Amino acid sequence: MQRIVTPARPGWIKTVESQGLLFHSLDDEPYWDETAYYLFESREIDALETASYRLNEMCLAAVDHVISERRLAEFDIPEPFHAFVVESWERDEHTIYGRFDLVFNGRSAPKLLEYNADTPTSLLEAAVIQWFWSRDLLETLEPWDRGSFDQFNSLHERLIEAWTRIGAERGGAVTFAAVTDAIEDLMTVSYLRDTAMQAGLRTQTLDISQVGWHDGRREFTDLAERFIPLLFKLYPWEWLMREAFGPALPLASTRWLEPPWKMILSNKTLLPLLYELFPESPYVLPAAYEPIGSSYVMKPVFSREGENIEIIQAGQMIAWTDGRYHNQPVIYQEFCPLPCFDGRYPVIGSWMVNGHACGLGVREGDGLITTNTSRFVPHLFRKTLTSKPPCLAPPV
Amino acid sequence: MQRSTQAITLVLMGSALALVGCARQTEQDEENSSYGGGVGGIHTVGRVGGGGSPTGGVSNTASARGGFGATGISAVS
Repeated sequence: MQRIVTPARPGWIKTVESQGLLFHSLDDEPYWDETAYYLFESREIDALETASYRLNEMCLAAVDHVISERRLAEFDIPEPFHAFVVESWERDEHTIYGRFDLVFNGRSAPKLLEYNADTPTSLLEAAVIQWFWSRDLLETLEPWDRGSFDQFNSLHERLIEAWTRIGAERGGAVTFAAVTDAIEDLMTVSYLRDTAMQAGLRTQTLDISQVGWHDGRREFTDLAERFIPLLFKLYPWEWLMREAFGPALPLASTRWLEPPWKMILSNKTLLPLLYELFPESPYVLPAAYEPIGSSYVMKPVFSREGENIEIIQAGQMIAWTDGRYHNQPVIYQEFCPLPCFDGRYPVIGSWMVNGHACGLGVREGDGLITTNTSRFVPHLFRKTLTSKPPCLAPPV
Repeated sequence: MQRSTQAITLVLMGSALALVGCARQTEQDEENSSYGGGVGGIHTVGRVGGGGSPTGGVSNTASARGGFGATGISAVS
């Protein structure tokens, strides 16, 4: 695993905007950062892929355990929703996607930091933007060299496969709902909608506040008062349950993506549970409900974008973030520092789509905690160790 | 083993302008289209305020709206 510095493509902003990435910069600093990329070796991609499949198996076993042992309350799921979750699991309701965030340095086994199982974003960047970047970069190589490099990224094809399956089994229409005022959320659901359309589904997008509840029909409805049979929501379950229409969730026959059973996996209480169930796994860090030794990370169970994280090393707090989640229950995970490349700290996002480990996205921060200002940096992998990493020519 | 997408075609995300354009589409456009099918059909006519209760007091002929969306400004994770 290396960090390779390379010039950005001339006109990169226009290029990525034309591919749908409107949030390419934050406060005039690039969020999409193609002035470098991470180069993996094939064996490292194998290791990340194997880890992701194994983690997915462990997560599904953990859900089964929580439901069979009736431990839903430990995951802050209110009692009126327990049957809702259990039924969705027993019906084997579909999942589209999830993203494991991993520590990986190319030498040790990848370690799970958290699982973004319910509302993962950075999907467009991972699936589309870095794919087009890789084609542009590899195009600069001699034809006989191009086959020496590739990108671990079949997300786009896997998403269309997923929608094709869902379309065949659940009818031909899906409604997307999100906070459409938030550009990143709108981009994410628009890209997912794009892949659903390519799978032949009829689609529409609503702001989450526009989802209606018809009390007489006991149905969630769209703006034309039509029943919504299948609703993809980019909006966390822990918020939906506690809002005004929350009590209606178990009453309606709408099917949801991600499904209700994903509530168990998107709560960081998953981390101590995985350690309880799989303490010998090389991919699982020790985690508990109280501090672990003198070096650990404290995480609120529903924290997003690295908010309210504290890192304690040898009894000293070495990094922390503010945020909106300071009043939540917390878990503690053994401190496993991110590797450092040129003063940058990458986290590997490993995507699961339709049950397949099928792509990576790298978020790079300036510190040990990955936050909403961490940059998305593309990647390649090398099939032949002797191949020289490609770089663009510097601008004249 | 092939590990990368072979080709990417985008029907909705093809350009930023198209996206902005479809975000401006009106509700009427959508209602006429029966779940879209083209690049339209995003309702961004503003967040719905209030929040009706699902447990009563709602007409049988119209849905209550605004019951979701009060918590967060973004779901990014």
